[in-house]
Amino acid sequence: MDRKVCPTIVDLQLDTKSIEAINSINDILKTKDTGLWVTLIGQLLLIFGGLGVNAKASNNVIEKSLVFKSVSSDSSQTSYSIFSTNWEYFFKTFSSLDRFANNQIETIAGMQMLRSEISSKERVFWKSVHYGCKAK
Amino acid sequence: MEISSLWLQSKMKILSILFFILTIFPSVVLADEFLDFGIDLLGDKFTAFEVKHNKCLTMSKKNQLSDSSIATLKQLPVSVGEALGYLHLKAIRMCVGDEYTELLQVLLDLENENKTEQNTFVTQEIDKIKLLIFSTSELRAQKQYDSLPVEYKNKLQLVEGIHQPFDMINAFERAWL
Repeated sequence: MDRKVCPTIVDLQLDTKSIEAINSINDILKTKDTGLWVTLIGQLLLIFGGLGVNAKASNNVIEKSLVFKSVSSDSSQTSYSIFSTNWEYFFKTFSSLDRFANNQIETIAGMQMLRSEISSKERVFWKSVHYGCKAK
Repeated sequence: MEISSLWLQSKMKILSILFFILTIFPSVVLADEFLDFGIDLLGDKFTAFEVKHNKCLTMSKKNQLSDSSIATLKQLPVSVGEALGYLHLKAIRMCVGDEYTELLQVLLDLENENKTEQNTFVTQEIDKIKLLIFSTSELRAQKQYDSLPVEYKNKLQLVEGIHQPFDMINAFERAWL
C-alpha cells in the first residue's frame, strides 16, 4: 500500500480496547533507550504516554500547548485532534525503534482495525498507525 | 611441643579457610558464567527469532486470501473479523517455529537460573524481551476466537490460506468493509 498523507483527525474518541492497545504500544515505547517517548511531550506520542487531553480539564498542560485541541461537544468524553505535525513527530520516533518493536506496534494497530465496533475515526487512526503515513 | 601444636592449629585453620574458598568460589564463578553465557545466548536467539519473525510477517503481507476464501468469510458476520487476528498471530507463530521455541527455552531457563542470583541486568533484559514478544497478546485474541460459535470456527478453519501467514487487514476489508 502506498503511504498516504497522514490524516487530520478531529475529535477522535478512543474506546477501552483502543486505550488498552495504546497502553501496550506505550509499554513497547518505554523499552527504548532513546527516551524519545518522554521528550516528545506535546506531540502525538503523548497519547501513547498515557496522558489524555480531557475536555473538562481547562488547565491541562497540553491544552495550553495548543498541540491538541479538544473539540468534543460531549465534555464527558476525552477527545483528541491530530494534525500533521503530530504524525510527523510520531513517525520520527518510530524510525528510532527496533524493527521488532515496530512490527509489534504495527500488529497491535492492525488488530484494532479488525474490530467491528470501532468508530470510523478510530479506524482511520489505527490504519494510519498500522500502515504508516507521510507527514507533510 | 606447645609451639608445634599451635603451628598445627593455625595450619588447620588455613586449610579450612582454603577448603571453604575452594568449595564456595567455583559455584559463585559458575553462577556468573552461566548468566553471562545465558544473556549472550538470549541475544543470539532473539536475533534469530526476530529475523525469522520479520520474514514471516513480510510473507503475510504478500499472501492475500483468494476470492473464494473471501466469499466464505462474507458468509460470516463482521464480528468474526477480530478472530482473524488470532489466526494471523497463530500462523506467524507456527511460521517462526523453531526460532520461537528456542528463544522461549533460553528465556525461561535464564529466568530460572537468575532466581537465586537476582541479577538486575539479567532481570531487566528478560522483562524487556517478554514485554516485546507478548505485547500482541495472543491470549486475548484467542479468547475472542474461542468465544465464537462452533459453526463459525469450523467455517473459519476451512478457509483456504488461513493457516499460513496471511494479510489479515486485506482479508477483513475485502470481506466486510
